[in-house]
Amino acid sequence: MSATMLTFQSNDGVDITIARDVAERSVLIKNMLEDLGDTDEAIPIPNVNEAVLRKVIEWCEHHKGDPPSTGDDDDSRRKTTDIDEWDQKFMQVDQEMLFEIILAANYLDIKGLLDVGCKTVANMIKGKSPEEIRKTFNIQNDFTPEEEDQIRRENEWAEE
Amino acid sequence: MNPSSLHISNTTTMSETPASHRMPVELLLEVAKWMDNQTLSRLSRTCTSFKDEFRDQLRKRAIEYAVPTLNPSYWRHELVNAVRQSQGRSDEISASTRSALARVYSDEIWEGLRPEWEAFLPRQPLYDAICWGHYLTVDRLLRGGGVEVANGQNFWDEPMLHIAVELGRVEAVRLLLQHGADPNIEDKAQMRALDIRVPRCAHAATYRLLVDAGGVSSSLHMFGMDMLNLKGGACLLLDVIENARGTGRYEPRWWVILVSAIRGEHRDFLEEIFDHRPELLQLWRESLASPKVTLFDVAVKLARFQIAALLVRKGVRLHDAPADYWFIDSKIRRIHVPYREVWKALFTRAPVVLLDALLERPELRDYKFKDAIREAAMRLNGLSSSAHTTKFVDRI
Repeated sequence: MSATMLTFQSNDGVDITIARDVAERSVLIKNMLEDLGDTDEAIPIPNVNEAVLRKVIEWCEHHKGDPPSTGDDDDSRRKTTDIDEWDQKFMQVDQEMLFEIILAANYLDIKGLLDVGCKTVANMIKGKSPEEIRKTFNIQNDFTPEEEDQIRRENEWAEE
Repeated sequence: MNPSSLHISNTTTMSETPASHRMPVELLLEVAKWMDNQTLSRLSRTCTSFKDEFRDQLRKRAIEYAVPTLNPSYWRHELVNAVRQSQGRSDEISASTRSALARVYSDEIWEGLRPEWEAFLPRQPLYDAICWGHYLTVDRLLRGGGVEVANGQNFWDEPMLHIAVELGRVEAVRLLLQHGADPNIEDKAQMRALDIRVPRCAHAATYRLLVDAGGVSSSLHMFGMDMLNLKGGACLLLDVIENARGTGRYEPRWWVILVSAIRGEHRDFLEEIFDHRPELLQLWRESLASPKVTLFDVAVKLARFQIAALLVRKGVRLHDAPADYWFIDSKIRRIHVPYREVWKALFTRAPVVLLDALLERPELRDYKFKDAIREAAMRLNGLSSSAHTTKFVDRI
């Protein structure tokens, strides 16, 4: 019988114990557990620090009862950037933490969390001009005026 | 989200580098998937790295936007989602809906229900812009989607180029070709743009654009017949024949085309053709009445004397007349008419313009009896019912 509680160690050396069904929201951990079998030892998560790991666990706790992803393909996605209220609140973090969560969700293979993170970034940009996006993400404009004009013309269709 | 992060893999361990600067390419693309077209395009306009990174995705979206297709994913996304919304998210419902729609989507039912389906189809912005003559929009869509949009089709597999040609939208045709539309793209019936009957107002300009882009009609003969009454039609036909060189297509049936041009008195067409292809002047056919019928014979027989004169001036071959082609002039001289064509012109009472054209030919430069011929012509025209004239006319 598999252990109901598992311990994980963040990359800054902090042990965190959580229920197995919560941890198995991560496909990476689920596969790892299938390979390892039962273990009482702390499982290292080398790419994620404590603060981020706790946020990820918080999300997994809240969503542990969700049905598995339906695997809808890309085209249908961008039409539904709605984020449910709890997730919206959950993602009210500074930009640094937001991107850390996305990186961790990607690393741990938690599709639902990755989607929420990506939607949040997409919504942050929505409606902003290129210049505003540059300011938001500290992007350097390296176009020549001619290049800038050319790409603007190429993308005029998207402004309709 | 600094462009320099584009090369950092997601296996990078935590570091002092801000997370937003460590976004790997695949995560940027993941984020991009959730962006609408406007947002993604604006993000791509922020720096060269993003421009390069999102170029393919934006191009794909521009194509999907300009000329959406009715592939199975359309049904899944649009209709199945509609069913889901009305009946709740159930895989069972969506599976049965998919199955029903797959049956409906079979070609046979699809074609038969065209009018009924049209109201439920998504708009195709390129199709609409061409139909309504919104050329700025056509241009914008083509700049975004390039050649794949230019070669796009409507839901009934009709190429956008054909639609623009059929509606006489010259500017749309120009833009489509400029962005790489294939001038020889075929529809389901193997029709090409140059096979389409263009509205009269847009005739010449549309054909010229297609021909300059390398267009070839699937039937050079039919195209030739369409060119008779068109300003510049002969050059268009000759250019199409040039485009068709090496494609295994035969030359049009010139005899039929030229006889039609003579019958219709398409003088400009004939003049242009013979300027560029003088050898066509010498075409002839055998007939029951005569072993050799020339274009000149046809023109005279059809009483198209101005056209006959044109043929003469362009250099149609003159055929030696037999020894018994003579008449007695007013000075009681026996005048031999040296060429059959002159004989015909004389005794069919053709207008003087034809006789003049013949008598000006180099072959007749030294002919001594030009005045006698002219006088005879005048006499014949004035004495057409005399027995003397009838005798000559019988010999024609």
